Amino acid sequence: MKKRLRSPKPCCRETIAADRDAMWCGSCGQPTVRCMGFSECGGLVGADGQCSVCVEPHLIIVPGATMHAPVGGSVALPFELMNGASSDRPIFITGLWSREKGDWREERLSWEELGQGERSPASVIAREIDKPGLHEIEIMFAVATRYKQREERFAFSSRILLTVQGEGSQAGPTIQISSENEMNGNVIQIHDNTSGDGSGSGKVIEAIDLNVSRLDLEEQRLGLRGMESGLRVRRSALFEFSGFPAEDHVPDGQPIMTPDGLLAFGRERARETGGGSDVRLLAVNADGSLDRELSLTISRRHFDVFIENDCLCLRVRGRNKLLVNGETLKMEERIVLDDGDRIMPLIDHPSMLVITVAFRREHNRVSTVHFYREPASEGTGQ
Amino acid sequence: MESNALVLSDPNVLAEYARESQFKTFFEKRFAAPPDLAALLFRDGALINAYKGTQFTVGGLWENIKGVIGGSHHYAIMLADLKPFQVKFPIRAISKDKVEIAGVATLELQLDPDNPGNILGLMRGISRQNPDEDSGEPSNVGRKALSVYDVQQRLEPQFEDRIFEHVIGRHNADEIRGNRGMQDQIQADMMTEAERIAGDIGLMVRNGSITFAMNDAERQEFEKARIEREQAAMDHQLELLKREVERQTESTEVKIQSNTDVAKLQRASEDELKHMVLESEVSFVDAREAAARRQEAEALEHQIVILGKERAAKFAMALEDEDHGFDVAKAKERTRAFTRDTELLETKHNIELNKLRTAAGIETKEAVSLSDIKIDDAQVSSKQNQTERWNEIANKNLEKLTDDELRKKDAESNRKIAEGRAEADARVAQMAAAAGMSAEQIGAITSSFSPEAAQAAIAQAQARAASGEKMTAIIRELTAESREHEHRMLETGMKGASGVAAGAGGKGKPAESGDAAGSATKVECTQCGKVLGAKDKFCTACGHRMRT
Repeated sequence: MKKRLRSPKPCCRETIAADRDAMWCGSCGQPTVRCMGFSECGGLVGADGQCSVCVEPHLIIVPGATMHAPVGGSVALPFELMNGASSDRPIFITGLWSREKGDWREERLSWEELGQGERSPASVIAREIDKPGLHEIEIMFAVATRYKQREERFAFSSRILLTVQGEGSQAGPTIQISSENEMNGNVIQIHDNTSGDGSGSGKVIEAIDLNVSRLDLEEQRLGLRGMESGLRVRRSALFEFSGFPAEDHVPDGQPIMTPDGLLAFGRERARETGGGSDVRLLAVNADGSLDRELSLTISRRHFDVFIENDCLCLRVRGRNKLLVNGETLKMEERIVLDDGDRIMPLIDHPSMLVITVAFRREHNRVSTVHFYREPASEGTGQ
Repeated sequence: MESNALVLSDPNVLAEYARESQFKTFFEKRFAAPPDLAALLFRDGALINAYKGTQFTVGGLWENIKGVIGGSHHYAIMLADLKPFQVKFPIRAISKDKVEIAGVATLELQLDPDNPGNILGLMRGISRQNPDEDSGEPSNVGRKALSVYDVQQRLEPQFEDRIFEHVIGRHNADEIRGNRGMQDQIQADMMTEAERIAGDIGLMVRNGSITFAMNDAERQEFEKARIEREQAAMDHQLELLKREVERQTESTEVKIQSNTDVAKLQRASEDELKHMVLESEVSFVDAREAAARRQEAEALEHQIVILGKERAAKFAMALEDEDHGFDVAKAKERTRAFTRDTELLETKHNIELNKLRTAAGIETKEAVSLSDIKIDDAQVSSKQNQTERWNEIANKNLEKLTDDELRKKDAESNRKIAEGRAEADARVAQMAAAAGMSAEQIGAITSSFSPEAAQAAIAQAQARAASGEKMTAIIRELTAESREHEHRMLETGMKGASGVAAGAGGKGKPAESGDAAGSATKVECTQCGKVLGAKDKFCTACGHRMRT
């Protein structure tokens, strides 16, 4: 029984560092599932699809920020977002939200791209500091990492606790960031500087790198990840094949472990034998013999199947088009595959080769993706 | 010193020269020009400058002395009104539908306060000659001041045909009033024309507006509407009158009728009144009796009708009962006959059915038994075929395995035989070679097989060469070296064994690793054959668990 993918451990990274072609970790036995940009970053992804080499955003409260606000007013909280990735790959900040309580409030963001080690300024406004005491501001931002035509989106958040002291002063309190990582969030103390206790100038002395954490539920609510039906196809999903000759597809019961993180379906031979396909598609006659003429209408690389943003996606790569549930898809068009979808690569003879997608679920997660080929083929010896 | 204000002589005057007589004085005098007037100072006919809200001083002893010595200059001051003013133009034009349109256009203008000197362009025909000092009569040469009317006369010819006729001629008379588009066009054209004509001679155009008088078409519409309103009012009055007359007619009729009845009663005598009462009583009694009789007759008629209907119904029912009994008897008779026929037919049918069942039962049994036999045969043959195929495959596999094993065993035994044979041959060759040798020669040959034997041979040689004591010491030394060598061999073997044990147990390398331990750091995956590190728990190629 082989181990399922959880999240890459240091031993997995050591295995990949020692042997770049390793498919399994020699120490813990986990599959080494590669990032879509593995050729650039050399990183591994876990079941959640996040590559720790490419995606490591930081939220930093800038030094020198002074924030004054009366109780009942609003507080502007300036900060910087930084790309702390160890590889030279950019990330894209595609959205910024904040909330004190209730619904998210979208904030203005006038830039998007962050290169390795770059940081850009942003700010949110807390509007509901109407009483002294402890207030929480939650900042959420959407991060995208892109490689060629693929994109993975994630949502991260950080919680900042504001302590407002003193209400009677007319000049209002000074909000000062004075400590970090206290309790379960980051604490910003707000002192009443008019009381003459000299408790601070209200300026941040050092940049504070706040903790950020993934918000998988918000990712689904915002439509960043997951399918419309609520299902999530994680990178740990296993792939099985029925009706295909054994030598024409990648081994059953494994996640997508190819170097580019996708399964290539097409007429070409398998990668192990020098070709470029992971699943070979050939048209066969009723007697099981190869239909050479019809097989030529299947492109060498007809379509790719991959997992992106917790969705099972199909992208047409060949010029010969294909049908998915009767809908024609042209080259470079893509679609999200769902349970029961029927892929017909032979557009003029759709019934000659039908691949049906079936999901096996565990709660709202798809544990196994099964491809059924109709009519089944036992191999043509080609 | 008191200042004298310089003012214009008339509100309609825009600009005029100040009287020179004012400035002829021996003593010094001071004049003030208010800020809403521009004072243009001329010396010897040339414009010096224009001033707003400034003071001038003239005369004085020193000035007179300077004049006597150096000669005097001629000074003149022109005053110009800088406040906005309005100029009105009459509008006369013919509309598209040939109706005369009249109105007033108003243009609001102002002398340019920044460049009041430009007003000199408007001053054509204005004379600087002052009224006669002696008589006070005005000079007869030219005009004395620039007035609003002069500006009006200068602009008016440009507006009439070029603007008013041109624009108004494109609209019907009834479309002109309230037509903002047309008004905007006229206003813009007026301002453009005025700016073009007088812009560079000191006039600024501030605004323009137009007001139209009522034209014939509008007047007719107005009159028509007025007449219609009057007619509507008269109709309304007529309606009111009609309703009044109707009300009066109705009330008159009632009044006349009641008056007639009253007059009739008044005229009747007492006997006539009694007769009238008696008549009315008699007629009342007659009417009551007639009503009672009619009611009795109606009740009788009703009873007759009911009795007739009852009797007819009873007769019909009796008739139906008779018919029903007859029909029932006939039906029973038919039913009995039908029952008999049915029983007969059923009996025949049962007989036929039994016959058929018997025949069909025999055929079915035969078919079933035949079919069972065939199925059994097919199953048996299928199983036989399958078993044969399996046996064939198993035999092939077995044969293949057996052949492989046999081949392996043959190869191994052949290799062992060859090795043994080679060893035996070597021994035989050695023995054959040693057959003719002396003991020393044999010892020398033997020493080439083993370093220890060689050492022993050397020691023997040395021992032979040395004395007895030396020989004894050398032999003791060699014995000690031999023991030390044995210890080293044992230690090396133990280290190798502990290294293998450490690798098998998943621990790190032993503290002291020798060459023998280094050779055990690689293992081969039993499933895919990939060479892996000895401490790997899983195969990195196929994920196979290497050890627990």
